[in-house]
Amino acid sequence: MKVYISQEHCIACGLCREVCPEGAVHPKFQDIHHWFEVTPDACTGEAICLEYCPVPEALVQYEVATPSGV
Amino acid sequence: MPTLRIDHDKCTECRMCYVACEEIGINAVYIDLEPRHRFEIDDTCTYPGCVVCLMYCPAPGSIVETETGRSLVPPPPELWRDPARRWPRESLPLPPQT
Amino acid sequence: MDVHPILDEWLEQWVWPTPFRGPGIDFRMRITTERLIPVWNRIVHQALERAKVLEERFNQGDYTGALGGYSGEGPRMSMNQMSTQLLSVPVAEQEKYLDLLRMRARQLWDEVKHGSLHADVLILGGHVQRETDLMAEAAANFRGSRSYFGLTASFPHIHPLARAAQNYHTEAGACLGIRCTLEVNEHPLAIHENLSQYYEELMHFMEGKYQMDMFCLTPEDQRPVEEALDYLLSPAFIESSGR
Repeated sequence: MKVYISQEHCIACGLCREVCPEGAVHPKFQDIHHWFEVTPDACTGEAICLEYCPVPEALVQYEVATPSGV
Repeated sequence: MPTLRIDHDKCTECRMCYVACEEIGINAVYIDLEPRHRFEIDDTCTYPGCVVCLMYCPAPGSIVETETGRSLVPPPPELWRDPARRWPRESLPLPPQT
Repeated sequence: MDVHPILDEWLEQWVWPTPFRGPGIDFRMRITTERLIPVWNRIVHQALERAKVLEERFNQGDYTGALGGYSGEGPRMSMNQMSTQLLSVPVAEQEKYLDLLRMRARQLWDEVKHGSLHADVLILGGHVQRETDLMAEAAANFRGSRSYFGLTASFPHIHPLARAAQNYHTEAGACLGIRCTLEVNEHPLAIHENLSQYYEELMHFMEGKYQMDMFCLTPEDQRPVEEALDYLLSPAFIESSGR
């Protein structure tokens, strides 16, 4: 499982960025807004961010598809 | 249908439009609660009679003429170059929309 | 004096447009043409030169600029500069300047974001692995310019409108500087570091423009702005701030 940020709901408070132990949350690349995004490769799915996020739908967990036959 | 519309892809939510519209007593800009606290314009907006928000908006493309879809930020010269077009701040209420 | 095309376009887009006539706008036009445009013109020329230096630094993996940016912006800047201003408006006057106070709160958010952007450059550029590593690096925590924090906290206790001078002039300089950087720089980290900052500095500039247009209606209201500009345009300050 990993986490992504739903831009429709996120209020860009920055808490997830502060608490993520992997530093996986960054300002959205070359973006004009205050928005953040998760770097999927850096996300280890600990989901500590979920415990601090003030907006219920802003952080979404998803299953990482595993390649078949590996 | 409000004559002006905010394009949320371009709006950086600085609230200058809200502040300016409130200062001159029109109050057409409000903050929507769902899904996020985004700024919106309602139909008490008197554009093209009033262009105040356009003069203080810092986000290119974020305020749009509803009818034509054209961006009014930065404001096109015809909206501010002609001194006759601008009303004196001292005399409120606003002149009737032409 | 030849106005650089970048400045000319910027004036046309953001400075000259006005919603109405009035003493506040006349005042702003006068100080802009008489006092500020020559300085802004010089800033553009300098910034274009500096942008080339910055691009070279990025290409060589030299992140001195990002380290300086990190130490100058972010929570440190926010707490020093913005909270001083938030606390400086007397309770009796809070209502009159309420939205201006909200803009200060907004700037807190902006500056913290800028700190994150500089941290991003340092991490994505490989200077550090984690932001916490910067805690051990002096250059990421120290700001040499004597006036940097003192200056930005020094106006509000004089008069809330003294801040308008800083919003208008200093942020115009910041906008133009970043605009020139974005004009020259192609390095993706340079663009990442600067793009949203441009929009946010322009927002602070608009605050100053608005304050002057709406509130600087009498000589008494205009005086704090003129006096703040006396300081900001003084040779001593310009030299110490590197502009």
